[in-house]
Amino acid sequence: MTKRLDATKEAIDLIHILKEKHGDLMFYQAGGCCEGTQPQCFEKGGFYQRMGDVCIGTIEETEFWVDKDLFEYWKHAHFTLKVIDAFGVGGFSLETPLKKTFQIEYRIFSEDEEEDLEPVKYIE
Amino acid sequence: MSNIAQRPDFKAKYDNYIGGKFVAPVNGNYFDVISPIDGKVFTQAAHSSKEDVALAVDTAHKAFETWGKTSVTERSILLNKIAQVLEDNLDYLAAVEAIDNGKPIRETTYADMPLAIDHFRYFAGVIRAEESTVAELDANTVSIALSEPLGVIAQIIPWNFPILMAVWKLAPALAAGNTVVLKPAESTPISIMIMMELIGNLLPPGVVNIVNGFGAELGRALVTDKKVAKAAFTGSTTTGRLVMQYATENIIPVTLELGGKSPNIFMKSVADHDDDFFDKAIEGAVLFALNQGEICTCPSRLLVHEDIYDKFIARVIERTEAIIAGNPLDMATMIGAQASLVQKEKIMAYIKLGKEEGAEVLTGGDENVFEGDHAGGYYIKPTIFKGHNKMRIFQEEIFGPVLAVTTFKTTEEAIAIANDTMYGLGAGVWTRDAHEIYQVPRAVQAGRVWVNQYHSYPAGAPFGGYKQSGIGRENHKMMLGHYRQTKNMLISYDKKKLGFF
Repeated sequence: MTKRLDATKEAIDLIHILKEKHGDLMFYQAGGCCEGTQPQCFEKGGFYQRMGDVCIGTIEETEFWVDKDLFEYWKHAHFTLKVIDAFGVGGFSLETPLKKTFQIEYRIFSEDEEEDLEPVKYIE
Repeated sequence: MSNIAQRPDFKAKYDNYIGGKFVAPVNGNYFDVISPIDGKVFTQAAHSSKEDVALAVDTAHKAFETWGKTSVTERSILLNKIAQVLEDNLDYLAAVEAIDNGKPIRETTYADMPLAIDHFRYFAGVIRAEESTVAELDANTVSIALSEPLGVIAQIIPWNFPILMAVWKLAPALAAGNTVVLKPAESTPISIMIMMELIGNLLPPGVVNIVNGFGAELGRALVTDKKVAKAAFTGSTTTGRLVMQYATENIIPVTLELGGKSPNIFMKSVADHDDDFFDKAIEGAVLFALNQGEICTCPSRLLVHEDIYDKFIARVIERTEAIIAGNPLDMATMIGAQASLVQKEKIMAYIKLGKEEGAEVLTGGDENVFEGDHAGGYYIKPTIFKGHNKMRIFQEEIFGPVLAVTTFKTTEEAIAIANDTMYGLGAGVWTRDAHEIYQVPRAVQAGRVWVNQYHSYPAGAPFGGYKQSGIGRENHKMMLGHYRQTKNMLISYDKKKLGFF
């Protein structure tokens, strides 16, 4: 099975730091201005998902949710969650006061990978 | 020799502005502020906590007791005074804004600051001419519908036009008689503080309060404070929905401006002649690079009729390649720095993705590296991709100088492509055909359709989104309605009882 989501060691370490401070977490990614199309990290349950939103995987038991409309365009891409040692796109994501920002590196799935993708979970 | 503006002197750090004074954050913490021009720290801003938010909201709430009762004449005079002070300091603020945000000084000098100044004057003007309504519902019943300010307004400002976006929210809120607690974006926290250094003493203490810090730590506390009567936000879909979610707590109204993926449509008749209008249309397509593409209405999807595509795109590429990139403080520079390292990295990730998706790079496609006094800044070459509307670079707001180009065969197809997006903020339609001038913009689902122009934002023209691009119409007197509530006095002049009891 091909995973849709992976994370770098730095991202995993940062998740652990944030979990110690805030408890269980969630990621959400949608579009729009400024911090749009950035993964946003919130306390678990802190963001009210839309019907049909898609969970593309988990990192350290933290679900990564994608806006249902944008998933239509992102469903052919693999996400690698990474961290950049800077801030500046704004938003309410929990890591920014630590002067860090989660980011996604995308990679288009190959045809073989597309055939064997991990199933996703939806809000129903 | 180029005309490079002098760098203004900055203080070592900037406190919050609460109750008419600059006050240190309760926890005593500050964070480094980096200029995107060279990637270097140029000052510090208050890294505030919830305690500072509470203090600012309490102060604003107290100030509302008197400010909310001032006459429109008093408020109008004051807004005009603010406009004058900003105009008197235009060059200074234009330089500050360029350093804070990275945008070229010719844009801050000729767009950001003049628009901000005029915005105060517009709202100073329109409130003088307003009247409430009185209706005689029957011979003995009169209904008075009077506008009252809401109270304390929470305003969360984006980083792409730090001063202008703050003013779009401040001017109508103040004109309507509200007090404000405003949080600048954490990547551009300084220019608004310097604006307050200049205009703060014109306002009664507590009417405008500015708290710097991080959305993650302050946003929820601000929007859910029991003394906050309304929230206004510009930014991403996720954060906009979060603001709305927080606003449910005390059932307060919100206005949101959440971006787009704006289509810029060029009909066949555009290329009928090679004249001034054709030249204007070329510029209209190249406006994707204005403000480094960091505009919610960036015309990032170029739709060109296939019959004129070759001729049109050749000229667009030529004009794009003529954009002068360089030191944002140089008056000759047309494109400056992306506002932060993170933003630059995000845009570069999209450019990489566009290439992977098979979109063809027509020009640009890389970062721009400079030597000298703006080495280390966050620069990207204006980039044009040819592709189709199902590619991510067509659908997602990249918020950078990246244009995605596609062609259409019929007007119906152009409209279908234009509307094939979850957003509906801005759009452009270019044509010489009198019928298309009306019919095509009407068919495009966007709150602002520029016809034979793009990227103009005069006060007096309502600006806001359809679909997922937001709620509310800024830039127009109708915004006053979003900062007020209606008091209805329903008066009976009948001496007789109802007769029910």
